[in-house]
Order: sequence, then structure tokens, then C-alpha cells
Amino acid sequence: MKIWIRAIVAIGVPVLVGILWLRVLEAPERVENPSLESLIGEVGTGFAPLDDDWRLNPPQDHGAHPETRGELWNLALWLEDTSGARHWIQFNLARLALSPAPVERASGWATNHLYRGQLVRLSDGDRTTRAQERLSRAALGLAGASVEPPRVWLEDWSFESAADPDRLMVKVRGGETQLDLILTQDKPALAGDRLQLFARERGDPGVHAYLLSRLSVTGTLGVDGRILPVRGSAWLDHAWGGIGADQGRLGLNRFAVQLDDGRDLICLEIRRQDGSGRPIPSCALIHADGAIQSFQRRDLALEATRSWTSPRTGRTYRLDWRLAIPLLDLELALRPLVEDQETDRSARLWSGAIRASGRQGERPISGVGRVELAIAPDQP
Amino acid sequence: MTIDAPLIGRIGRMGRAQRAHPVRSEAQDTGYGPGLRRLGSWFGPLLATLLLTGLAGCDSGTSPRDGIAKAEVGRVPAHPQRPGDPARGYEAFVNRSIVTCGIPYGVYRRLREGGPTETHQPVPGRTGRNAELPYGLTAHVAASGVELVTSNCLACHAAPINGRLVIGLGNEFLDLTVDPLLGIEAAGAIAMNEAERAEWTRWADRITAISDYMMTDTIGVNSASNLTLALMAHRDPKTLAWSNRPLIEPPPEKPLPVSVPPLWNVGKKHAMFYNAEGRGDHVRYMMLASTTCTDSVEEAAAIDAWFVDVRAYFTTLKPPEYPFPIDPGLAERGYALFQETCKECHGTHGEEARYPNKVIALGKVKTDPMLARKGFGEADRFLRWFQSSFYGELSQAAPALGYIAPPLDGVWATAPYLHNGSVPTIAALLDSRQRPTYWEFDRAGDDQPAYDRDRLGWAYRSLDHGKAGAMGWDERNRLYDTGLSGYGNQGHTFGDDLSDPERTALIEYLKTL
Repeated sequence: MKIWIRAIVAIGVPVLVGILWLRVLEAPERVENPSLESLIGEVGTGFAPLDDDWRLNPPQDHGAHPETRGELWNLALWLEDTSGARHWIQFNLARLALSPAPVERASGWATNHLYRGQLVRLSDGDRTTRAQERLSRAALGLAGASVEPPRVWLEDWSFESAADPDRLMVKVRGGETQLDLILTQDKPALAGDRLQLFARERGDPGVHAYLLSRLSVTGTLGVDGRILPVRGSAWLDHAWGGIGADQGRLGLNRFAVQLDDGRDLICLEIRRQDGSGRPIPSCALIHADGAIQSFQRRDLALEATRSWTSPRTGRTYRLDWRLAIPLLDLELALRPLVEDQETDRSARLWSGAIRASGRQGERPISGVGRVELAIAPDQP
Repeated sequence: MTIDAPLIGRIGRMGRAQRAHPVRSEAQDTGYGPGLRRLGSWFGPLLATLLLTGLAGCDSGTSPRDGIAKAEVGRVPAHPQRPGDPARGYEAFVNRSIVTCGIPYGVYRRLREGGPTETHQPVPGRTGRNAELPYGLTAHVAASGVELVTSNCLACHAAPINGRLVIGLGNEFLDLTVDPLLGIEAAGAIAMNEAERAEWTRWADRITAISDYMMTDTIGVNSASNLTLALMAHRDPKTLAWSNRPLIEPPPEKPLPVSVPPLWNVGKKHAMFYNAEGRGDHVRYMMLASTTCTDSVEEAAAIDAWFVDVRAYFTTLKPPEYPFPIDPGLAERGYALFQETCKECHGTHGEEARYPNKVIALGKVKTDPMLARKGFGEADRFLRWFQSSFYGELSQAAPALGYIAPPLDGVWATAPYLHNGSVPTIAALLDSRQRPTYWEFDRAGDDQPAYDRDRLGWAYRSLDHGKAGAMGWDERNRLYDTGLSGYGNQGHTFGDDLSDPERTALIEYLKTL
């Protein structure tokens, strides 16, 4: 089975953005700026299999797992400043190991790891997203990871565990968007297999993954030189292992929603890239107390009602989704804040902010979320 | 039956189940793993499908009109069956593919890579590639030359009991809740050459078309009848050509639950299926559920030619003997109670065995009526399809508005009970007050539960909530909820008036059948 399919089907945690990023890291010809050709040697194989008996161990697992081939930290932030303006931010870090057995070299430029970072912001009034990107070897202190404290950095961007094990810190400097945030867990970390998305049990040790579906956020946001106090919420996905290698014939759409009633919703949809076959969705609802309610394809309906074509890439994405879970008498509409959120043009991915609204029974429900769409352009 | 996608996705788990429950073949003490029950799960249902739907024979109890017939309740008349060679039938049953599409063998091997080592034991007489495959799968070389792994009848019609694989015993642990589409895509992600891709596509398209009609809400119950109806909907009855779009209205997407009846009663029964609609020649009913890729009359006729022998083999099957001690005195008292309480409908056993072949009206048996009502009142288009097809040439389908009282040979082994598998033990069947509203098998993971020698059935747990109260779909799928439509456990209250000692004695006698 393709590795990334294993990651999704067997483990169940969505790591879409990072997977596509790592593909880019492995396919430098697809990266327009900056070029990776000078950084990448021959990408090695032969990494040791992951431990079958792995159990999630935060906060240590928030840090890097450098013995593995690839690793992803995907953070979605919904922030509001003191003026009431809203800011939607994605902060993504990816690590790729070049060899399972690196040769010791004296050069300070010697490295076995590449890091890529991306920061995407969409603020009230914006009609499209603003993106910043970093790419570096883990050499000369430019990028890297430490175990104690658990920390990952890419030049002056960093993600780390605070002294309080329930807190994380994010720092982003040096660009038009800057962050200095403290994230506090509102719900415990969940290993991916607990979501029961598609798979009944962990079927493959190729990827380890977990998510923190709800964190409270406080700190500051720097926008064009102005420092704004902000509060809000965040969602973190973190995965590591054999991810990143395959160009599959399947595509994946992913939906992560924080509902105002304290529940979080995650849905995945697998489809063939050529448009044939039938889509396979699966969803899990993470309750305020951490309890998980999961649903198979036959328990739900997930369908797009509109498509949008990127004026830059010509690629068509399905937007405006409708989710129904009859067992819960729940219906949700998932609509993008703006259409133009094709945030990673090299990876051909629409990854953007959405607003959710609908009902459960007679009770209105709403929320905010992030949708990642990587399915081939066919009509809904 | 065809290898379906879910099979693929479950290969690893099958292997583990096999290790957890090594079993021996009833026919030969070489010891087989039951593991294939997961892989083969979709193919097997095809045969079982027939159980549900019913097509009736040309007997005096039926009243053909507009090409279709409905039967009165009461006795089902006999109909001569075509003779066959049981020995040839067995050889074909365990080696030949009735389903002629499946997963390319190379893909199957790749899917198995890295999974648990298969420890299954061969069913006696499995030869060539089949000897290395789990018993629920059969090798088949397609016209393209690609070797395929296909599903067969054993996934539904063989199951372990007390460490022995019993051919003919309905598999009451088959998991048809798994989404076939996942397995299809898992297989499709494997690299293949052009010919293999074409074979995969053919198989994948068929399974995709019928996947929703195959999936059940509850592990253990079978969807074969609904699957058969879906296959009918996609075929021209005259040519048997496949159509990706249904040609008649398909059945409902949610199958009604059915317990797989044992094959060792085939020789006693005048009609197939719970509503006794399968009247006339039985062979083609048996084939009909496995027509996933039988796309022409010529292909169907070729299968019919050897399936006559398979049916003949079925008539030679015997139920397994109860493997634990029996109290002869208690059983003797139970025999007397059986003669008073049960024999009128279920017949007698032993030297003066007599099976009445009697359909009991819904108003009398009062078990869940949904299956019989749907078959009687909402399946005319399928009856018409059947009668105008190759499969109906020797038969007259005729559903009745009731359920046939089955032969009770080996009844101790066939839990759970009633046509929908809603009652977990014979003790509960004989005392409706003991029947759990919500229950699940008491087992670890997919292991087989312990056998309850007192109540006769698999160990189970009563639950305080139904599917609506379950959190995960895994929990939901393992839970039998008698409040759902078609899943009711009411009726058959004929043992309620027995005293506890009488019921105990009757249970002891049933162990001897």
C-alpha cells in the first residue's frame, strides 16, 4: 500500500499539507523559489521501521523524531485582535532526513536534514492569502531540533514546548507577519488511531501521528510593523515516519472544524485523482470532554456544492461543502472565508480557512475550520 | 462470489485471527486457520443471498400471475433436483471459481507483504495455488491470462467450532460492516501492469456498484440476499450483460439482517430461503448470489454444469456432533418435550426422521416480519427478473408471507437464532423473557467467543444502550440492536410456558440433534 495511504487509512491523522510539502522537498524541480537542487543530495531509503509499541508521550513527542524519514508540524490558528479584527494563520514546518545512516563530515554545512516552513495569513478584508516561506539545511544552527526542551526551529521561526507541559510556544520573526504566541491545551493530545478514521485499529507502524484539536492562544501578532495583542484558538497536527515518498493515484481532502459548542470535527475524504470510483469519507467528532465519536462513509454524507478555478494555476477545487450525519441529526455547511486560498502553488493545494454553520436537531451550531483540498480538478 | 475490496484491507487481521484460533478441518484433521473469514467475506454472501430472497417452484401452493408467483403458507411440496456427483462437487467447491473476477495475484501478494504470516491450514483437496491461499479465496486465471484471487462460498459457509473448521456451518462472525471501497483503493494503489490494471478495474467497478448493498450495520449478520438483488438490478435478464447503471430499481441500500443457515440441511429442504421462495431447481438459486462477474448466459451455463455436482455434495454434509458431554436421562426427558412442543413445525430426528417443510404464517410465528413482508410485497421486479432469466428456467420463485421452520439438525452449532440472528442462545429462544434488547458477543477483538454449554450459543454481553448510544463505529457495528427495523427479536414464544427444568431438559435433547 502506498505509504501515504497507510498514513491516512491506517493511522488516520491528516497530514496532508506536510505530505505534499515533503513531496516537493523530494522533487526539487517543482519548487520555483528557492531551489533545493543545491541542498539535496540523493535521498536515501532504508530507514528503520517505527516502533510498533509506540504510545503518545507528550510533551517529548511535540519535538522532533530525527531518526525518521520525515516529519510534519501543521498548526492552524484563528486569532482576534483587540479591535475585533480576525486573522487566520497557518504555520507549517516540515523536516526531511536525507539518509538513514549519514556520513560524518567535518564541514559546518554538513547536514542530514532539510527543513521547510510556511506561514500563511488571511486577515479580515483580505481577498487572498499572504504567504512567507523558509527553507534551510539543519546546519550551522540555521535550522534544527532539540529534544530537551522539545523544540524545532527554522532560522528565526520556532515551535517549542514550554516549561508547563500543557503549553506550546510559537515564534515567527523577520517577515511581514510575526507571531509570539503561547498555546494552552484545552483537550489532551490524541493519537491518530484513536479517531477510528477508516481503520478500526492501527494497521501499520509506518507513521506515528497525533493531534491537538483545541488549544487556547494568547500573545501578539505583528502585521506590517504593528504589534497586535491577540487571542484565539489553534489546532495542531504532528506526524513522523515514512511519509512523503509516494505520488499516489488517490487524493485526499481534509476538514478540521472547531465548533462553538466545544466539539471538534475532523473529516477525511479519499478520492481517485482521475475522478473514477467513489469518494470515501470518514469523520470523527471530538467532544469537549475528549470523548470521540466516529463515523464511516455510510454514516454520513459529504459533498461539494460548488467549484472554483484558480486564476493562476488553472486548477479547479471543490468549495462549499455540505456535511450531514443523520445519526446525530447534524448538518453543516463549510464555506471558505475567501475563494483564493491556494496557499501552496508548487504542491497544488488549496488549504484555507472556512466557516461552518448549520444545526444539530433544532439547535444552531457554528464554528471555524481549515480545509485542505488536494483532489484533482473534476466537477462536483 | 468475488474477492472484494474489504478483503484486501483485512488481510493482516485475518492472519492474526487465524493464529489466535487455530482450527482443524472437520473433513481432515490437518488443522486450518479460520482466518479467511475476513478476506472472503464478500464472496460468500453471494450464496447466502439466495437465502433471503426466495423464488418458488411450480407447485400447487403457488399462484403465478403476470409471470410471477406468490405462495401460501403451509407445506412446501417437493421438487425433483438434478442429480450430481458429490465427489466431483467437492473438488469443484474447494477449487473452482464461481466468481470470475478478483484481485490480481501479484497485487494480493504485495498486500500481504509485511503482514502477519499466514498460518492457515489447507482444506482437504485444495490443489495448486489454492493450497497456499486461505480457504475463503480461490485462484482463477482470467481470459487475459492474469491470475486472480477470487472469493468463494466458504467465507460465509464455513466456520470454526470447538477448534474445527466445519464446512457448511454459517459464519456468524463475518464482518460485512467493513467498507469494500477501502479495500478496492488499497489494492488499486499497488503498482500493476496493464493487464492486471484492467482486471482490477473490472473487479473494482463491480464491487463499487454493489458495495452499499453489501454493507451491514452489524458484524455477523449477512447481506447476501440484498447483494443478489443488487446484482440482478445491474444485469439484463435475457443476456445477463452487466450494466454500470441499474436497469431496474435496486433494493434498499440497507440490507435486512440474515443469519446464514447451515448447508447440511439442503437435502431436507424443498425450498430455499427463509420465506421459502426458492422453489423448483435449487442449483441456479445457489449460483445467483455469486454472479458478480458472470456476464453471459454461456458463462452461467458453464457454471451450472458443475454446480449441479456442488449441490449434490451439499446434500452429503452432516452436522457436527455436540463436542461436550450430554446427560442421556435429561435428554430423554427433553425428547418427550420436543415431541409435544416442537415437532409439528420442525419435524423429528433419528430413525424416524421426518421434516414437514412447513412455512409458518407471520401471524403465528410472530418473529420480525420485515424480511418476509419485503420479499412478498416489494420484490416483484426481482421475481420477474428471475423468471425471465437463465436462472429461472427450471424454477418458479414464490415467496410466502411467513417463515419456514428449519430442520434442527446441528442446531446447537448455529447460534445466534431466528432468521435475523437476533437471539444469541437457544435458552433465550425458548424463553423470550431472557432475550437481550442490546447485546454483543463476549470476546476479545475478533476472537471467537467461548461456547456457552448451558444456554447453547456463543457467550454474549447484554448492553444498556443501542447503536444510537455507541460512540465509535466499531462499537456500533459490534452491537446487535433489536430496536432497528428488521432486527427485532420478538416472536417464537412457544417455549415460554415451559418450566425451567423442562427447558433445561429440552436444551439437553437439542444437543443430540
